[in-house]
Amino acid sequence: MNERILVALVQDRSGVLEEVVSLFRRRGFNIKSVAVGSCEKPGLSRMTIVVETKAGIEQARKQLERLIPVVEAFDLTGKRFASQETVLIKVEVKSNAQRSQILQLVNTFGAKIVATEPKSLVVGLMGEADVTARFTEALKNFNVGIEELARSGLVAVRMEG
Amino acid sequence: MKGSQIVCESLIKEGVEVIFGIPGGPILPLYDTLPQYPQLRHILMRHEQGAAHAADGYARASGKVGVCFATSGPGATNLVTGIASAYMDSVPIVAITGQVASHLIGRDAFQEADITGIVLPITKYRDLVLDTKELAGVMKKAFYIARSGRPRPVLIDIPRDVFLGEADYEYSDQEPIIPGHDWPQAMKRRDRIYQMEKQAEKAVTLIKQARAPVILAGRGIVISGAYDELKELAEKTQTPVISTLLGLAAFPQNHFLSLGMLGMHGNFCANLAVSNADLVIAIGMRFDDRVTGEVSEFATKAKVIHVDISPAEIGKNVPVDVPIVGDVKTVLRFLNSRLENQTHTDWITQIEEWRREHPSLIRESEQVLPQYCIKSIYEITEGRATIVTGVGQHQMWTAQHFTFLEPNTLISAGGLGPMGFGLPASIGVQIARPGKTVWLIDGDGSFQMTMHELAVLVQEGLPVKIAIINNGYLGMVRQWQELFYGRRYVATPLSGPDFVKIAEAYHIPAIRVTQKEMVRSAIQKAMDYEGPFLIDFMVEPEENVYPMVSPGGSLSQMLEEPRKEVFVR
Repeated sequence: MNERILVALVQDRSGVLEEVVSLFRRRGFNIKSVAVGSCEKPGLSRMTIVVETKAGIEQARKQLERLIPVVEAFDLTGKRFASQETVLIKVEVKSNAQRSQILQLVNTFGAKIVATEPKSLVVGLMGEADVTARFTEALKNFNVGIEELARSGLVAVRMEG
Repeated sequence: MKGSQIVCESLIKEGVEVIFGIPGGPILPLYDTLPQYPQLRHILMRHEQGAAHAADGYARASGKVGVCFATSGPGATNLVTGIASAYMDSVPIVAITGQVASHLIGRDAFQEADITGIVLPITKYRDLVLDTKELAGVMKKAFYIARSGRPRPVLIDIPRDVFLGEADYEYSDQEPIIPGHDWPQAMKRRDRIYQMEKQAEKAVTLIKQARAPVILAGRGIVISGAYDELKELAEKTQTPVISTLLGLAAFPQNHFLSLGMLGMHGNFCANLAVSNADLVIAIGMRFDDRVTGEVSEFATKAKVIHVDISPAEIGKNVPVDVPIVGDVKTVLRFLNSRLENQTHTDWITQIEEWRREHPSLIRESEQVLPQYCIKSIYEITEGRATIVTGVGQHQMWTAQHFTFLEPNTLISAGGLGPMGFGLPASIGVQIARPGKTVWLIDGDGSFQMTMHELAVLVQEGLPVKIAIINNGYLGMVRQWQELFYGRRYVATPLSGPDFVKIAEAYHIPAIRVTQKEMVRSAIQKAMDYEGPFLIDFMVEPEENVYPMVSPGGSLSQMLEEPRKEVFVR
């Protein structure tokens, strides 16, 4: 299974997300993440979709472009692009020693303390998908209890060349 | 102007003359407005599935957008089969459904259904209009989307209060601009033309080199109206033409280059020709699994040129060497302008040999054979009739034994295969072709799914001639049970009604045919009668459709009629 990133420019109106998601369901692609929000063009949204697929992504892209609210769709595979995602993790803190261990890790990764509570910390990191994944793994290795974990899903913009 | 008036005004602007529908609570304001617009003819159907199929048949026969009305909830959900079928076969219809008042939406109100959600995967576009001010714009967009590019159904859901609301009416004469979907404009853009021509030049090279080429003709030729262009291409390059079910009436089937239909119940020589071809020129077709058989064994010796208006069809089922995205007619004209006369004498001789070895014949029999009934309809109408079918064995026998001579004279549901398509579709077809002979060839199973629409033939004075190929079974399913399930006929025998009495109950004259000698005179009698007429052909019950490619089998391995009896032409 490969991960592929598709970016679509879509009309900003109700039902569009449903239409796009329904297409991937029908074609048997598993969606790993979808991030949608307004973009540089008024009235349009940019959608970044990460899908797991064996093959047929070009077919999926063309089918996506066939949907009326989709203005255009790109497959970023093999292209130059910049991507980021945010991960937020609420960890249980049992001791001061553990707290300083976590703070150290946060510094190493360039992450942030987003909120503090007496018995827990919320740490956040924005980065490329592999960085956020490594950060999450490292936290788990510290034997801290991860109480909640949330990912924003990847967003990507194309680059020249 | 009221919302309901805006809908009617917009329909008139779009050139709509006929609407197929059934009223109900939330759509009543629209029906209440209809008498103000006598130029809109409303045909009252007996079930909304029939309304959708009738709009489909009308659209296929007229080349215009078909329109149907249904009320909220069950009215709307009953349309679903008809919309799905139109979607699969690329038929432009606009369905307008009433919806419960907007303040009730989402509260499980009486007769509420989320119809725009339900039809999402089977419509090209759908919209729930929540403001009367938006109605005219949405109507314009709906018709434009339904008929442009690859035509397909659109559904517009309108709450009761939006029909009753007031707004200024202004209908633009300009085509709406939908970013990324400006098909007609895009097709005229210089870069798109350049792209098409560049691909077509590659195709020309392949066609000139080919020694054993075949053309696969699909419904795209009918939609584009490219009959003459197809004929020119075939004759100029001496390339045999093989049709899909929906491409049968795209090329005269009595032409010496015509090999008839390919696929699961295709002609032996057509399937052999595809399997041995070195070039496949696929035009306006989509390589359905009933056409290709086992896809990994399909046309393995051939390079493939694929002409289609939809980029999403290219490479979907079969790998393509030269894709050409564009309107079929435009592409064929360009190809014809670049091609010179060619001959493929050896190839055509080879095909003729296959044709002689495996002819499409009807068994000599004293029984009433379904194939004989269909062939007799062809002979007596001299091929000058539009044939509508249901779905099943009779549909395949019609494809095999009716020789389609004139463009767009076969109206049949191919992709979805909805039994019950025939009768309501024939209503739409007869309305689109007044004064023309329309025959419905249906099975006893398929006919029973929508036979209540007989009432509409009488109510509207539509002289459709109905031939029921009555074998007392769900015949195609029975055939599969015979061949693949050890002849265990579970749930396929039909204890049908007396179709003659059914017809008489609707004041339609009818004959039951029980002997071979009665077949031709019954057909003649139906032709001589000025109104609708029904013939109940009591045919050999366990007759099978041959040849046949087993499900998942390769096109080159066909089952032939096993019985050894005397054949006649």
